[in-house]
Amino acid sequence: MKLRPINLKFYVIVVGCGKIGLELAARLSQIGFNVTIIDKKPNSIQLLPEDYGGFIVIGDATERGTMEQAKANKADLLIVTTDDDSTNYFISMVGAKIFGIPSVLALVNNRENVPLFERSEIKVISPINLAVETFERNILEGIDQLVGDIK
Amino acid sequence: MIDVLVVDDEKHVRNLLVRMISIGFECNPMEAGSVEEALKLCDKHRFDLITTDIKFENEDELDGIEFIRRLRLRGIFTPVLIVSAFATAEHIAEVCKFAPIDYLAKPFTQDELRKKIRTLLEYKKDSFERYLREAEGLIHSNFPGDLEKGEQLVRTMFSLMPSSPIPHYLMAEILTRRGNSELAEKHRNAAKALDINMRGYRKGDEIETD
Repeated sequence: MKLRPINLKFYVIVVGCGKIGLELAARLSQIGFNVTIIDKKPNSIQLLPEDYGGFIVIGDATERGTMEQAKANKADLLIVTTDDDSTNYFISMVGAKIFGIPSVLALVNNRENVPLFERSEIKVISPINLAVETFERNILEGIDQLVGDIK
Repeated sequence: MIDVLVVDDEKHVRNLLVRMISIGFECNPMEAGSVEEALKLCDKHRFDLITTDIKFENEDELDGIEFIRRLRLRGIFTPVLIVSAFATAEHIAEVCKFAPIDYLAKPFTQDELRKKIRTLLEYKKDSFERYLREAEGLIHSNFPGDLEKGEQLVRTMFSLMPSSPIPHYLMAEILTRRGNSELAEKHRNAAKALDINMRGYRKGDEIETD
């Protein structure tokens, strides 16, 4: 059983129930994390898969009350995945500084904002950077063959 | 091994609760998505612990509090853990009289849940032992009406620990005192069947084996 190693001891809050947040929350719960997903819109939550085992909090994560309701002070990890970088930055900072969450990971949609997040010791996931790095790795892995063909 | 019933209309919470309880305790969890379903299950099975939400979508009258009230009316005194995000002070005050009961706010951590369940199971053990002492006293008293009071306690003990032989032993004594030796014998046999170590219900008691 996949659940055994983590045993639901690790409490994770995922903010944002977009494509990324949704998929992530579902996967983390499957692996054996204790997951709470927070979103403003009740509709987006309905897209969670049938076997999702975790909590749902409907509310605005930029509001302190919502984070308190999600018991943010007990979280081991905060993952922020909304499509707005300033919202992500704000929630990440509140999570780390006010609620003392030991580890914070944020989605950074605009790569120009990456340094700001990094300066604040927030771990960054930037889709553009990830895509570029993956392209680069793929190209480099096939470079011998490519150079050979050109010759 | 404990038998647990998880009552919640949200499938994702039931999934999590069943996983969490299975990891923390050796147990046999069952699920119900509505109060109606849960009551039906309680008629058929005996549980050591029940967890329930308070607010049920599309259910105005049959909420968690009504569920607990109906359980107690049926003579089921299983410990109940209320797991809800919406419990108000009024709710808590209302259910206090249906002890043993405890409350845990959603969301919760594995640790929080485990502590609450442990306390409830401990409470159950303590109250069972207290009932046993009281029932013994009442059964052996010659004061009119005490035997009936004792019987009431034994019935509560049945619902607290359905798989224990002790309430059967006590019931056998009550029935013997009333002269119904046939039914008493049945209870005694049921007790022996459940009493793997043949220890009886008093300390130091040894039951004769066939």
